[in-house]
Amino acid sequence: MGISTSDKPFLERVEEAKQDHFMQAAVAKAQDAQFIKRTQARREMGHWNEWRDLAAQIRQHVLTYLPDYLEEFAGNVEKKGGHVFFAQTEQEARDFITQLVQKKQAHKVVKSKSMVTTEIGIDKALRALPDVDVLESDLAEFILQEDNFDEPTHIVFPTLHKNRDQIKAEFEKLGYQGDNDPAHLARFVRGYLRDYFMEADFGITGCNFAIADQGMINLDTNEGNADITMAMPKTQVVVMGMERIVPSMKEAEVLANMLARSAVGQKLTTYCTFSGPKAAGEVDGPDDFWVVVVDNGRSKALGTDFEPILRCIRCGACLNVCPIYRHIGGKGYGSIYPGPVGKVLSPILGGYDQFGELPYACSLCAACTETCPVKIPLHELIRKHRIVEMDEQHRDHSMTNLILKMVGVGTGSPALFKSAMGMAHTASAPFSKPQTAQDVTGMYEGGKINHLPKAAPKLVHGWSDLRDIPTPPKKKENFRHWYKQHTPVDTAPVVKEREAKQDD
Amino acid sequence: MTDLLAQANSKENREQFLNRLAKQAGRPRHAVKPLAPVNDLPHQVLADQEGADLLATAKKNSEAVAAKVVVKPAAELAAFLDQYLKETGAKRLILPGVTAKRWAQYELADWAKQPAGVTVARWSSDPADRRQNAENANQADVAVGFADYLIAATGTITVPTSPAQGRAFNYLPERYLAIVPQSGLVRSTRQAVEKYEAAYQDGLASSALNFISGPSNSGDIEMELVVGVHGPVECTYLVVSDR
Repeated sequence: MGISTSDKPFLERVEEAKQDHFMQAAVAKAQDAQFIKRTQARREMGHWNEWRDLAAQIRQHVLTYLPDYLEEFAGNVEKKGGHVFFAQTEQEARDFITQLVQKKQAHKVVKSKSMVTTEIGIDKALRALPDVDVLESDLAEFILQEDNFDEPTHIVFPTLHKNRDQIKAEFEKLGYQGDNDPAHLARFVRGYLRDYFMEADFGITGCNFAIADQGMINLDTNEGNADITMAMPKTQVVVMGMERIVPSMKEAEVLANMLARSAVGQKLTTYCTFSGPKAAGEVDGPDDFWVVVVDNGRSKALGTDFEPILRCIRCGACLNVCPIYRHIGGKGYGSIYPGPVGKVLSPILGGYDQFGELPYACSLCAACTETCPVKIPLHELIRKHRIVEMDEQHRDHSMTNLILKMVGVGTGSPALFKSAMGMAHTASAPFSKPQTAQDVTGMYEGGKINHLPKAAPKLVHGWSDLRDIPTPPKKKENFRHWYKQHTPVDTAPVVKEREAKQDD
Repeated sequence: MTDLLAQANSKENREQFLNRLAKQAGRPRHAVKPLAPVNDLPHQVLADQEGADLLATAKKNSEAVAAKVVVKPAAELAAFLDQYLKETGAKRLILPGVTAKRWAQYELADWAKQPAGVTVARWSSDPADRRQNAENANQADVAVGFADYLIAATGTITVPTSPAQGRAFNYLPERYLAIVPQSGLVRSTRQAVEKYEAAYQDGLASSALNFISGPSNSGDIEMELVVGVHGPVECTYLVVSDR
């Protein structure tokens, strides 16, 4: 349940991810392909940074007045004959929907892709009920479900880690007999799900943006499954993260454009639908329209430095530029929210005990911050998590603190620093190895350190385990020594001026 | 287990939740100031284009999302539709349950009475026909319906759900053709949205506004684009040049 996708420790997950070469190749290919599509779509839009300013402003505005907009939205849904339930926890949201399925005596539940429904673990809860079938209708979610609820690896492309042959094998269990062509596989799912759609009596969707002044929701999709989910069943439940709201369709329209361009490089998703409860005279659509507004820990970010993470529109662009995500894929994070957004959001929703390591799975390169369409300062928030973990909660009980204090004292005193520099070469000699023919030239003439005894502190291992450190130079060869001996030349402007005069 | 369903739409449930948010945020409730946008970009989209240029842009962007665009005067629609049905090999056609007058606006009153060579189902606005409508739409090889606007910047048509043209009509048929008047050509999603906001103000009762850009598709299997997943596998915009 919840946002966790794994019980394994972080480093074990990372080790596993490192072995998965198909996944790594798939993620790299996806990142590169999306880079081209995304950049092209944004350029074509023009004034991209000003659009970001507008999008960020819209999202921050609704966060500032969140209770008011939620109140307006709830009132308008109610006016249209719908129902709104505010769930503080995932448990409440889950229980509410479970009770509704029972009350409606529904047997065939159909879902369209939504991160928040995964977050509240609704599939499992409903499957536990007697005589209730639950089917994911988004192609990727359907594939994961048929593969015994495999974990998603990406918030926009959940099955990135699977190849067509694996998918074909899953479909063969359902009676598929064709080849591994994605078009044929997709066509098979169309037929399989269409039969189910025709019988479905209970639909569950997410919500990209709730429209406060209309009491409608906006859904942005490509396959058409979400719209069929809103057409066929007589009961629809919308599950929305509480921050997923905008004042009017005008702001939704801006964000829908930003979302599609950022997520998949489209100008708009194929289906961009504004929908509410069935109106008088209409024949299909939900007679019964329920909205479950979920907090589930989001409010912990309100009014704090972490508040900007609630602007997120789940485009996944930050995953698509992240060098760490490129190497460990979605599963490495152990959260349904992976990548930069996950590093910020997971510890807020799930706590530091479970996700405290994620903010460290980051090189602080800030590519995520630069690509974010709603200008969330992602890398700054990742760093802020580290500050909270270390300075406020003192979560590190290793020698790191003590060592860094010593480093502080050592580097703060010229005498101590000088003597440390003098001893560095001799002290590191036992761990040093001579350079080999394979090494990069110019790096390791003085030897290198690529292995440290297990007993060495965690901090030092962090430096040496994944790369070779050049052995510190002998006292006579270090920079300060060299600098003292060297005859200064004139600075560039002086040289230039002199040369100019000579030319005259 | 407590009866949670009874708490939906209740003041206690809502107030407790919203007060908690206000307290956590440290901001008072009911102090909302209207959004004053930092810029006017949504109104500047394609602002320099109109007429033939705008239509050309709409066509280009529609084709980029795999929609087919056909521009015809009303007088030629019937012949085009006959040919379209023939070419697609359609056996079953579904039409919206609109009056003859509505078809007549596009000089299609005669055509709509009995299109040649196909079995025709019409969307019924009788609530008892919900199931039948869905079956008809599910079995239809082609749907010919009406759209309000064609959005140039994104290659999108907009279709409001109505008693005569319901949700399943737009999503279940194999092929989807929408008749859209060229007077409904707009520059941007913003323009279309503003028109619908005004229409709601004037009493439009549609429960769903469908902005549709081409046929359904997916990149979920190895990110390879597949056209035709759950919704229509083919999508045509029939733009009526003199309407």
